[in-house]
Amino acid sequence: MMNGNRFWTVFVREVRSAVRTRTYLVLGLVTGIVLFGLAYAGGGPAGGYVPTVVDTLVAVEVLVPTLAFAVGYRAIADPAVRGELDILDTYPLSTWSYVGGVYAGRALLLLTIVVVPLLALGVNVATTAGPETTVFASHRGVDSPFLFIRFVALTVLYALTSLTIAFLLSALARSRGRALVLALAGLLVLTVGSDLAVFAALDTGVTTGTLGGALAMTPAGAYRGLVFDQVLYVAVPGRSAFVPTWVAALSLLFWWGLTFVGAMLATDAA
Amino acid sequence: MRPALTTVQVFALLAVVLCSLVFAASFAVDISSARPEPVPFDNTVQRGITMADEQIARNQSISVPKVEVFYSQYRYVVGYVGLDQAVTALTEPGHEQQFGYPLAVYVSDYSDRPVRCGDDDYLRTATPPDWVEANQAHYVVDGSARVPSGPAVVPFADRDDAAAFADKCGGRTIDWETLKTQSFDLEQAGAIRNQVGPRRNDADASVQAARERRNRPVSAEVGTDAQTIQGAVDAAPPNTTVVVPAGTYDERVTIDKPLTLSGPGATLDGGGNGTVVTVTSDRVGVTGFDIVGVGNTTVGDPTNASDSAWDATVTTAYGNSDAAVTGRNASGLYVANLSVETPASGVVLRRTPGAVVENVTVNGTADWQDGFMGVIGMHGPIVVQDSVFNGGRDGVYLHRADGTAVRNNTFRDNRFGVHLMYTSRSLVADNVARGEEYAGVVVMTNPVANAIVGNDVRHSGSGVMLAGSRSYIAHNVVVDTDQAMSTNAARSLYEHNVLYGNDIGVRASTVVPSNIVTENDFIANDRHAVSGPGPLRVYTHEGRGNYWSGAYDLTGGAGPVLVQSYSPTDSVDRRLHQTDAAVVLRSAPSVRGLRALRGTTPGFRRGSIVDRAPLTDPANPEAVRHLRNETSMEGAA
Repeated sequence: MMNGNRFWTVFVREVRSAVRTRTYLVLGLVTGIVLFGLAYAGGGPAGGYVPTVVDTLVAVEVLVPTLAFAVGYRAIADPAVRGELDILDTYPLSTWSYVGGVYAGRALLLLTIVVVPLLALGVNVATTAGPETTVFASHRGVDSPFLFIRFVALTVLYALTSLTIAFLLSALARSRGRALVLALAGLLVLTVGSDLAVFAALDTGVTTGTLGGALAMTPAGAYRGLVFDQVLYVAVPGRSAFVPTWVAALSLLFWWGLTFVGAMLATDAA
Repeated sequence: MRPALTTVQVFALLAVVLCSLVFAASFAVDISSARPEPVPFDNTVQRGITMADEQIARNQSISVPKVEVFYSQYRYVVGYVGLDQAVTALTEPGHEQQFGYPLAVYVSDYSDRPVRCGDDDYLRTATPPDWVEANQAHYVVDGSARVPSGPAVVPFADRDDAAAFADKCGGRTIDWETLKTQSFDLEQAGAIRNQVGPRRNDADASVQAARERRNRPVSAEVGTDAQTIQGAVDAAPPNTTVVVPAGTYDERVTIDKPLTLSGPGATLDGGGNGTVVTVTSDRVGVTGFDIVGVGNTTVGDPTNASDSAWDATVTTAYGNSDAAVTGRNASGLYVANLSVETPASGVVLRRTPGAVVENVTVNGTADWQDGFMGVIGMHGPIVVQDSVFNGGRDGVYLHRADGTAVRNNTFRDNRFGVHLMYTSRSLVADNVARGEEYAGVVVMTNPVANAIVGNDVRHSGSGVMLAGSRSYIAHNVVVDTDQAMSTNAARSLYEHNVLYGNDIGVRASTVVPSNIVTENDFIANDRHAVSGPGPLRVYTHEGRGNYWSGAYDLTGGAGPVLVQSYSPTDSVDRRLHQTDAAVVLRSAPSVRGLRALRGTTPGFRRGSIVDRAPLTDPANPEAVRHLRNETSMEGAA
């Protein structure tokens, strides 16, 4: 059997198991409710795409890694504990096919949970945003659905990177208890720690000139920076150099690749 | 051999490729390239012209250059009448912060048109102008061309056309960037504050001059020198006083020479038909009568209008309302110490510049719909002071009475206390209004530069309702109304007002926010402020906002302003003075997170007001302490 088909088999198994797990449905629903709730509490959808991004950005930045860790923290640790990995070692199945397949399956699950509510929100903006009165001629201003699609695209990238980080920690854990602890620690570092580290380093190493670069090095900083750089810039005329765009984009890809390879190596070692 | 892909695999691959393409495309699109096209001017949110000027322009076919601005964060197209208005607005500090930057600016294009400045210098053209982008146009400034509000800036797409126009009508040609550096002599709201004192002085001077009517020598006494008042008036030489002793006189009198008619204790009964005293001469005084028996015709026949002015019907109809005293085309009229019972109007003044009405009591009808105005002032500045208006329609009604002063009067149970139509540069000060059906002070038809100062309105429909622009509304106290103030006026300054215990404190009703609202006290209103359509309004000026009862921050109010901003339209903040539980919700991480970034897109936010530096203590402590004492006494009683 070719590697590709083995990957597909594992992927399909993951998707089937995810579909059978009703809890994920609840997770998706709650995510949707939180996003819609926040957007409406802020009044963004009535204003347009950009205000909606502004209203949901803080929540999405925390929600996405949290969901990624919820979906991924036992992805490798569980089969390792159950001894499945040892059995799989006897099959002609490469680590890449296995980890890749599991990752693709969980990624599909994670993106469904994150992207479907976001897209629904986008559709909602498209149907509700607009002038309160038709007495006057109106126009869109700088608002555009493309800005919202950019936001979704960047969120997808951030979600995929968060998920590989979750996989790496899961592969390192080798027990369910440790997997939970590691996941929580990782989540804290990702959502709070990295920004705090940059903040703390402001007077000791990071300078005004390197602040953008330093932020772009961290996954959360890179994501937030890119959202400002590609979406919210329209609302802040005169400011454009939030973070170095390519550094931030490559940083997210780098973290994704690094932790993915790390996860494979750790799985091999398990 | 590689096995063929299954259908599902093909679809999965396609889906991944498709999503990647859409995502990639969204980054490739140049968002800022779309440039909106000009729209019909009538559909824009219009600013910058008084309705009086608009009527004059329409009536005399004057063409006023216009501007359309599309802002990056504002959904409505804003139309400015007059280049001076647009440039002033566009270069105003804080303007971009609220509306975003202009995506596109279009100006009227007078190229290829028979445009001219006639004998009266007014700008006229046979074909209405087209649109041209502002930065592509050439502007003729400092020429003789005029519009009703002042000198005209005339834009042309074609440089040669601009030069030709400048040859004809004078002026020089400049470009958009240069035009934006010009400052135009528009009265700013802050300047109106400085005019309050001079306007009071002007009114004092008018009053002093009019009071001269009291010092004329007595030439005749009714009863001894003549049998009737009219007889005495006809016989008396000019610049003297005709005295009317106590008693009742069934007469209607016309005064057509400079004369003072003085009748303390005398009652003049018009017999319920028409106007009782008619004045057609300059420098007449009417003092000290009780006037009854005024006719009940509230409105004259508007079809009798003889001139072609745009407001001829109003002048004819309202100007012919039956009244105790009517003055027509007479300057320096002095009406004082009268007591009037009227089913129609009290004093009607048409084209009576410098007329003064003081110490007059007008008792109108119990139901405002049955009666008419206490004082009507038309076409010329007048002073109405120290008078009392009970019942009837409006206490003081002004129509094109620029420069009028209405002060220290008491209004009770009218429709409106003071009602301004097409009247600019007036002073409405220190009046007291109680139980007004609709409002204490109302300003309509977009006039400019009015000062509404120190009035006290309570227990009424509304307090101060303002339209127009560049006005100054300060030191007013409004208590127990359905709606204390509406900020329908634009580019105006609202400061040091106290809004206490109303259903709604302020209704922000301009579509384009441009007002300064600062140092006001909002206390114990059911809703401190609500907002109509339009983007976020920022009620903070130069680091100071307003006092909102209920607003707090966790520093315990150590500084003069609170660290946390306050939004009277926010569903949590607006309950802060009603329940302490709102404090707990306000501290929730989700609510805080939501607020953290909201200010980024003010132009897109609809119907909101925020104060970024709420005051820790009331801005008008004296007035507030007074009110709190009064209300606690009312509660005890």
